[in-house]
Amino acid sequence: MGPNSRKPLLIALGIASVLAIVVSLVLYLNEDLRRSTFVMLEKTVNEKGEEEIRVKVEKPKPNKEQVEKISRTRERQKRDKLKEKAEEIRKTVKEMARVEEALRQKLSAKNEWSAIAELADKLDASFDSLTTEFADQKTLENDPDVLPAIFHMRRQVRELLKKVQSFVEVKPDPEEAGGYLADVRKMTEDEGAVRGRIMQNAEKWTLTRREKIDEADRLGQEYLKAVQQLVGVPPAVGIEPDDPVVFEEDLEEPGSDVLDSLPTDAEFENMTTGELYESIQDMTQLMDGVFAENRAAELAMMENITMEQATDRIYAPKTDTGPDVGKALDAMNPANLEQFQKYSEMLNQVERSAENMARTAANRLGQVSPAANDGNKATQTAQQLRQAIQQQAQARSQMQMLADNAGRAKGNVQDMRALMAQSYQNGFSGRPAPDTGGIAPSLNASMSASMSPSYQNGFSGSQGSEEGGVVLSQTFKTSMDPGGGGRSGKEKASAPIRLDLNQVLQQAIPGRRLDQNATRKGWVFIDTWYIIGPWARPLKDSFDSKFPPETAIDLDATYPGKINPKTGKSATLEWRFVQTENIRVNPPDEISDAVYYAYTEVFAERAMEVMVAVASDDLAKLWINDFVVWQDEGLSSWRLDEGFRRILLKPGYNKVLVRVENGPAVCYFSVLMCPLDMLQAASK
Amino acid sequence: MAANQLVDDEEVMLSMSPLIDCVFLLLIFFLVTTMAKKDTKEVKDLNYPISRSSLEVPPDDQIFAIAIDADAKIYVEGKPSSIGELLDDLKELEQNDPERRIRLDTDADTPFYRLAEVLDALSFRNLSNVGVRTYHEKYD
Repeated sequence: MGPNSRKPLLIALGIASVLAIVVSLVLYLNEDLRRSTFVMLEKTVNEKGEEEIRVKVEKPKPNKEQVEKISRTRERQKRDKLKEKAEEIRKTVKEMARVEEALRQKLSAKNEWSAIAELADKLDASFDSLTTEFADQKTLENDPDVLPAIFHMRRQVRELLKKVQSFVEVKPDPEEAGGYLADVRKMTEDEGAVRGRIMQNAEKWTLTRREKIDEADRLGQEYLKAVQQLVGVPPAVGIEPDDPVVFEEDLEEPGSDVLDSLPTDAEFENMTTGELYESIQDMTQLMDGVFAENRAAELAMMENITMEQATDRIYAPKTDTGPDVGKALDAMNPANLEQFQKYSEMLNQVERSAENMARTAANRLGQVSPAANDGNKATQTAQQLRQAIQQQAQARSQMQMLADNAGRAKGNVQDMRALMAQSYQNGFSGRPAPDTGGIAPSLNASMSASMSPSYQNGFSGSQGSEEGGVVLSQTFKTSMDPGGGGRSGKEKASAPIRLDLNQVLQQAIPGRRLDQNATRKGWVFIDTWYIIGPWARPLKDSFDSKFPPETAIDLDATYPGKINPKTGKSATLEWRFVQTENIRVNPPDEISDAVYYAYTEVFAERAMEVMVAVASDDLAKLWINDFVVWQDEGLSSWRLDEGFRRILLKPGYNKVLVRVENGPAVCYFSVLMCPLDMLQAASK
Repeated sequence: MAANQLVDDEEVMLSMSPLIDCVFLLLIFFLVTTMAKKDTKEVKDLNYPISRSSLEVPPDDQIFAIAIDADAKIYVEGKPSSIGELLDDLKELEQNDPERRIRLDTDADTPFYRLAEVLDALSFRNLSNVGVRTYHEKYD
């Protein structure tokens, strides 16, 4: 063996050492692979004063350049996010301001046509009662042609009313006005003919009927005169020179201060991250202001009060704008690892608050007049918006009337489906509602089905007291317009419902999802609520004072509540989760003379007609999707069948808000729902 | 000369460079494959409830993590959140990805009402792919 024979050995040694070095390198570099590590131990004293031996961990420190590079990258990422959020919020504020502008316009919109519109309203009401009066068998016997003529008249009046309402929105040009005058003249002539016909055989008709037709005639003449007067004067004179309202399409770009103060895209581009964040905060505050004004304007419109009064009465929610770190953020220039960690933490925080603000803004927009929530905002002109708001306001005030349970017998039923369908359609035309996912397409179909003319008729009939006449007028109407469908005609309009209390109590099932294919059917009592309270109960006109949940629902918010007489301090209220297996829900922290709010959502698989039974001890008010559905004043005890409302749920999630007030002693409320088709199936 | 050439040819020479190449390839392979993943959605200081019948599930990046700590505070995806925000998140989740896996991390001392509240919200939103994270000696 020569010296050559050692070579392989040396080579093997070389390989072994290379491997060893590699493995140790791997272990050194990758902490996760090694079981133990070389550490320095250090002695520290913890909070309790005990000595502790801890591992001192030393990690390689990046140099200044590296730190700067990472922080720049991190900042760029977060900046993009912030910009996105800023744009979202800006869009929301713009949309809100647009609605607000329209609302304000609406509030101050008193042009010369509004007086006419009021007259038209009266005329319409008069024809309504006339139709009801004449719609029975007797009419057909006396003069078979009179009834169709009356119905024809009524339709004409409806048309006139609609038209004049649109004139209040937008002033008609002289030609249109002239056309309208001709229409009115024709209507009065037709009406005169009908009256003449009736008066020919006056002895056949009862006195009330004759009086009714006389009154309609008188109103018609008055109306004609008013329109004549208005159309006769040159249109320009109609508006006073100092009239604050300009009835032109200047609303496409609402030029209010709000929008001027919003930053442009270019400004966003030039802002530092800190400034961007501050701008988001500013816009959020602006959004709060616009939102509060929006709600105030809505309230002012509903209750016919001034904007100032309304502003006083509503609660202006304040969105949490996060920590004020904008300036600090810009001032920071991390040079080492600790500073970078702080910086990164701050960026995260800023991003989170911006996200929250954008989310709150979007939620708020959903809460302002649903009319604004049209998907095709760009195509919706200011005029359409105002019309939508107008219709919304009308529907709301009619609903308010129906909702009021004061003076109604127990077990009474009010039908609100038509109004709700109208409002939903107003707000949701053509857009897939955000809450509903894939179910939306069915919405329009079912809504328009429920909007059929006979349905509307059914609505106006069901609040009347003369049931016999009403039912007949409905069936008659149905046979007159064949497309109408006799949906409501089949139902008995407003026969009070008697509930077998025991049976319902035993069989009602807890839940808040109304599924079509549920195994158990029947009355569902809503068992899951978020409840907040108590606030101090106002001594009189209790429902006039609004507490924060009526303006905006924010489950994370806290509010000062009723002042404790013993301590003189008010408790901090927060929403509390309550789930119960009892039909009657008892608010937590129950005290006397207090106001509570309960909020929940109910899921409906499709657009669903539902019977709602609300019962409370003592006062209660119920909103479904922001529409008042039930209002019961007076200190009454809890009864399951205090009253019923037929309502329409939209597919997906429906918001339910209850206001309960406690006088003395105990406080309970319950909300039961049952799909109408199930009720009908059960009663057969 | 010819014989000499032959002898020279027989001399064993091991070229080091391909070997080192191989070794480094191996090294890189292991470095890449053994990157331990960190759970970024985990909330610190959670003392998971102990269970005896849990299943080990493979880690999943797509999971939606909700955590409730002992003070009933809520975390979503590892970030501090609130019940209102969580409800909004669930609403979004239901629309975008109702089948997404959801992991519920709770502390052993989490108040039960909060857990019930979150579970109810999940079931109301029809989100049923929910798992609860627990501590099991065998796996942890």
